[in-house]
Amino acid sequence: MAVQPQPFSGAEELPLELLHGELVCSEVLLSKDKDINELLSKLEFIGFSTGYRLIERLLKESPRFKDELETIKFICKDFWTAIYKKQIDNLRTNHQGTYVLQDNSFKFLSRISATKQNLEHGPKFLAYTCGMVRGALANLGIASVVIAEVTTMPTCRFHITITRSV
Amino acid sequence: MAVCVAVIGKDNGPMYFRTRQSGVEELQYHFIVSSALDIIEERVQSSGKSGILPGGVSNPGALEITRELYLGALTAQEEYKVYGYMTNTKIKFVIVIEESSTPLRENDIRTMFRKLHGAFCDLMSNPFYSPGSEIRSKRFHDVVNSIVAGQ
Repeated sequence: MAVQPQPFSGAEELPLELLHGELVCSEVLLSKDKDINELLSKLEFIGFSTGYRLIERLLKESPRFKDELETIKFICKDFWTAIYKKQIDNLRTNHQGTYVLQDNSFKFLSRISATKQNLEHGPKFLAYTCGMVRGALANLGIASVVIAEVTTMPTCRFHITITRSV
Repeated sequence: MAVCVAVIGKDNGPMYFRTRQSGVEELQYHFIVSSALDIIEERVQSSGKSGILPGGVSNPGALEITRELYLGALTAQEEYKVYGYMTNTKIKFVIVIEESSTPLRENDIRTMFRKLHGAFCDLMSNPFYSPGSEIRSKRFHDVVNSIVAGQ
């Protein structure tokens, strides 16, 4: 029997990566005249909608979550795998509503060379993902603030702070 | 046979309401569905940490049952039975089944809810649908039609 050739193996997720890269470059990096924060928040909102809609589909077969930590674990494992084909490498929490998710080779940063000049552009490539996490949590009834930081490419951290209504 | 299908949003407001016949009957179903919402809330909350029933009797199975999205029969009256389902995102589906000569099996009900949930996921993936608003999608309507028609 002939082995099925896989001409584009490893390129299945490339369209998303390229689309995202293009989105950031053309919308944010190259637009000189507009307020950069405004553009980033627009990008974040696109992510928010994506996450909000995506989580509905991802959780179709899964049982109800017991608590918040279980929800975050789902984000780290299944949610991340669905988008980036890998899991979060490290999760830390203070058990009081702050979670730090570390990805040692974040996909959207993996093609960018780790120079000092590029490092300052790093966070712009994370806005969409921040929004996506925030959107997913929002649909599950958890209001949060998600901030990202890049220390050394392509490692990045996402800080999730749950905002509890008093 | 299903006589009423309702989708209730996060804030317990109806997003979609469909009865087999419109008219005076519809109001009655609104009442039935609304009263079922309280039971859904109760079931989901009691699923929390302990598996203890209201009577103080410990029920080890309770945790398992209620972690499922399908919530089972909520209330039963002489002429109808009400079934509930809640997604992880707190969208509730309620189906009212008319008691008739041919009783429906539990599995059939599950299939109905699964179908409904599938249609809802598809709806959420539609960029023209803004989450939480009233459902006007024809595609969704067709799925509900097939449920009501018992196919």
